[in-house]
Amino acid sequence: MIKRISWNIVLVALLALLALPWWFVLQGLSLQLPTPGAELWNYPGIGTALANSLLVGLLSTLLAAACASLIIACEAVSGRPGKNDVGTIFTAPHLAFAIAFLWLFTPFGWFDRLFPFAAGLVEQQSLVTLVIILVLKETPFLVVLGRQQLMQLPYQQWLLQGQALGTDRTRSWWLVVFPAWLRAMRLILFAVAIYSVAVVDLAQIAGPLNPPLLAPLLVGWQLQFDPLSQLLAQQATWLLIALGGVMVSWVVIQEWGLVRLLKLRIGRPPSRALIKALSGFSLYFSSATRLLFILISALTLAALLALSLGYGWFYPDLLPLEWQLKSWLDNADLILQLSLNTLGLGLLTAVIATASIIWLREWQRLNQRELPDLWLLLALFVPQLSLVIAWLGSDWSALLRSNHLSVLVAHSWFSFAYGYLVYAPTERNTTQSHLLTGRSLGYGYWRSWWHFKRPLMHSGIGYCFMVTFLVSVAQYVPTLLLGAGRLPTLTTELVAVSSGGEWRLPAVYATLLWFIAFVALMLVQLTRSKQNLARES
Amino acid sequence: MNASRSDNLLRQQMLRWRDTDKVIRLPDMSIAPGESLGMMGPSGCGKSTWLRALLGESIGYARFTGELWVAGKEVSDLPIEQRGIGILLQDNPLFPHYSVRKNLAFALQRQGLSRAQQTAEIEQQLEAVGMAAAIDRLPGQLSGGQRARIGLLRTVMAAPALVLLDEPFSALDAERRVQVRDWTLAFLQQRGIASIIVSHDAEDLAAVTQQFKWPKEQN
Amino acid sequence: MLFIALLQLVLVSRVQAQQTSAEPQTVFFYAWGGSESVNDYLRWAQTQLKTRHGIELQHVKVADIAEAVTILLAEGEQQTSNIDLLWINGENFKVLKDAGKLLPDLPERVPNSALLRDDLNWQTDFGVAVDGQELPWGIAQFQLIFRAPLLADHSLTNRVAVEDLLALAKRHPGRLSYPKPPAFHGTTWLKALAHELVHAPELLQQPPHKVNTAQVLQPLWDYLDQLHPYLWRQGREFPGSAEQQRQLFNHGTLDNAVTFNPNEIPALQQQLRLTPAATAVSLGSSALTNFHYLAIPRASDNSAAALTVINFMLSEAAQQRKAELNGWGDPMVIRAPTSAKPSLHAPLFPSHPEPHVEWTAVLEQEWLRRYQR
Repeated sequence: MIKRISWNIVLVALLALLALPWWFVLQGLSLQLPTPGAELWNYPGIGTALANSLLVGLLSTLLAAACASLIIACEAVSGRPGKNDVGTIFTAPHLAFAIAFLWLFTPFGWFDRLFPFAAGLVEQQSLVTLVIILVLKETPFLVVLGRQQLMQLPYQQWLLQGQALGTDRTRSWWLVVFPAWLRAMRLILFAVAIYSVAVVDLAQIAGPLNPPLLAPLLVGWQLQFDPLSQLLAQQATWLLIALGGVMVSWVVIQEWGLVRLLKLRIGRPPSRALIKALSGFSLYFSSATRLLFILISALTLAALLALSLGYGWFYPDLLPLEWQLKSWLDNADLILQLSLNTLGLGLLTAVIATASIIWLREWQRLNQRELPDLWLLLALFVPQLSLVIAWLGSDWSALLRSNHLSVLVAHSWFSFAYGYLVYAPTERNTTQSHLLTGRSLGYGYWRSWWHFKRPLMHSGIGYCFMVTFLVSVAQYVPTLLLGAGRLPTLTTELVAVSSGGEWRLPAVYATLLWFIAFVALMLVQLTRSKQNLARES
Repeated sequence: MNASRSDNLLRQQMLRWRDTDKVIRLPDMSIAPGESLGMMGPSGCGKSTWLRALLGESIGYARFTGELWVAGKEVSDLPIEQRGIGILLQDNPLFPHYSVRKNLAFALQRQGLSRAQQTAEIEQQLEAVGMAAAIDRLPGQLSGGQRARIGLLRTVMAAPALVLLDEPFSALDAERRVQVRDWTLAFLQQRGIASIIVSHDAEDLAAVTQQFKWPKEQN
Repeated sequence: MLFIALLQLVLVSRVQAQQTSAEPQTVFFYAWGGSESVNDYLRWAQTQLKTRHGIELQHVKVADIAEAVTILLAEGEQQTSNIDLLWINGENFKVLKDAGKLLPDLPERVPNSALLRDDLNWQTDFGVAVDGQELPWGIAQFQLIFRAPLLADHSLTNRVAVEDLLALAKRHPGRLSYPKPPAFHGTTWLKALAHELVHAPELLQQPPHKVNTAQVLQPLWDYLDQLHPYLWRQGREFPGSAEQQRQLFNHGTLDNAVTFNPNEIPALQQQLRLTPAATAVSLGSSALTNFHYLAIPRASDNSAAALTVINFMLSEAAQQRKAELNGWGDPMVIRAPTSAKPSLHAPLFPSHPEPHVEWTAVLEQEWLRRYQR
């Protein structure tokens, strides 16, 4: 009885934490829909902005998903799972990665100076550039999380079964394992797809600006306070939400169409040529892209570090006039303080979010009830600045008097959605039987969970913790606006100093953020390999 | 040993553990179509490893040498999918995200049937095992005994000359076990498919054509 | 787990320490954080204020001061403001003034406002009367930055007329651009250009609804129609802001940029942050001039300390330091003491005022209608 009550108390508290922010959003978000006659449609270039946003979203999602699928396929078929190859890009802060990438590969950029006749460089500010950067950034995200999802599937056994039925490994992979993997990746792909239309900072520096894409356009209106801009902002918020919906449908359609196509092949005689082409292609493609990723990440990291140390580095110089540690040393105190804030907030957020996610999954198991994923991931759909502005205009601050608490709640709330989409598919693919066995041996629910289920979930929990941590580390808008500057972090500092005309100081903070994220990833991969050892023995 | 063209032969088999360097020498075996060979041994002795080696999987911790003839053809150096050997593992025998129809269709891909022929074949085979109603169900919606039958059916529909069964009945309760075992052996015999069954339980092997005991390790 | 609990403890205690010990004297100063020289200057001010007045100046760096306006607008009437001091001007000031968010009577409350130069028209900020709700902190003059060799080829020195600019663009197609309106500097560029091009510039001082805007602005659009095909990417794409254009300039993509502070050129060059090839010139014979200001939210419960900060910012020491060319290089708004270095007495470029405030929207909307597709 008491146990029942305590489950319910936690449930109420958790649902309050998840739902209350929505209540505040509804208080502060105006219902100005972009109906056919709305002012938004009179804005010059809105059609282009919308079409370009959609194009960026569709293309980058499709390409990133395709690249990640081929890389994962090749690894699984050859039985050699990749290790720390693409992690460096995965952990790079978006903005910093884009800055360094543009600095290296655009006309007049570093490579252009090195090889003046090199062709095929990417233009500053264009649709193609933005799509390239998004694909470069999202593919490693999908590969890193995709490997983790794959580990939860008995895919080796399935491949073996397929082979024993006379199908070679490549064909077995695409017909048997891939559909299941893609299903496990669905939520993660949702996040990627929504991100690719909602992204602001990358679109501002690498995307087209005349007109800008919808998301940066929206932010521009939100930060202007005349009645027309405010009205446009309210209408564009809903348009962007709708665009997120379109992207989610796209992911579902993409998956459905692909799986349907593959299902048609089941039972058909294998086309030798196709298999050969596919396995050859995925092998070459995967080794080539992996090499490319490693190369690009090494170069961008080196560029970033160099930018933070180089003084007087202007076109057409290949090297700066001076190398100095000054930017690092002058800001050492600040860097230390900001790092502590960032780490403290990130870890606390990760603990809260991860614990909530684990608890909510267990509650669903215990009660044999699946909450619809979309409800839990709704936070990903609404543009972040719209959410935070709505909160500012609601009773949020009256309820959460402390700026620090306010920031922590917001971080946990945003992290929850991302953590959930990493953890939930993993948890669903894990058997509950050990936990039941534990309980039948007389252990309580959570003791049984700790001893029997947690060991199976190590990598899922580890990745969930890392993702929630990284989401917290990357927050600018809620940290600044809800924290009112009381809790400056490396990211708030990075974004603020990046708004200027130089890259030196931004490069310092970006390098640090990169380092923190990289360490986090390495630590998580350590737990993964430990688990593999345990599994083999 | 006189082998006919359709016989399955296993000769000079040796399994060597890489870490301890212990060696297991297995006796030569010959299994005619429709015959079954049972291998008895305690859990953890290496029976499953042996089966996986026969299937053609490379195994990290052990090395297998020997000559393997399937339907009169030496297959020792062929990849798994070209050996003509089917396998039935003790758990997860079916792909959980595909219906019974799709699971069975996997086994038919090499036969070059039209879609209609394929459907007819699947329906007919399901009819034969009394499970016609289950055609569009997912494996998760079947009982353990039904899953075992579909698993075997799928293995057999790929038309292997030799089927390996790894503790195939261990997931079933005692009553169901005898039933499924008898059905399985009869089914394989009726279709003229040779089989090797490994188990730790003498009951499972009560009805096989030849019985072997897992040999002792040697240095 | 223990580690996390410990960390929680540390974080909470740090927070409490911040809240208790520093409460009465910490001034949260919201200011754009994109300039290293400004940030360095504020760090200097921080130490000065601490030793002289015991005030802890906390520079809250923002990417856009509109973020601070968002916070202020959302704060309720009864609420104590999270913001004690702002660096602000133009549109953002107007919004806060209209919303009644700012502390009035600053000149009476800040003794050093008596030192402000008499020759500056700082009483209107982008056409909006200041009404004592903000005090000037520095002077901004709109100028163009060019790669010097480009100008030398055409024997241009410190002034580029609109015809010269067009000729330069034609000679060097794809090398020039300007920040895209409605970005702040982009709109300013339109205003400056309009001042040079329209037949009767004094009409721009009137509210636009009193004149025939289409007719007045026609020469501006004709000029841009001529210029655009020779700009970077044929005038179909523009840098998103003055800062972004500065990056493209340093990167080599562009041969021009814009600035609101001509003095910053030598300052930035000395600090190896701007290419030595850069030189500032005025567009036409005079420069569009305006001011940037400091203001205090009415709801700050720390206004006494914030007033002390403004007073310090307007002191001779602080203003001189601000104007120094190896620092920020922002011109003084107070009368320079006779003892000051000659460079600090440097005269300003001849200036022309901002057009009437309502022209901003007219220019931005018409530009977007014509050139954003």
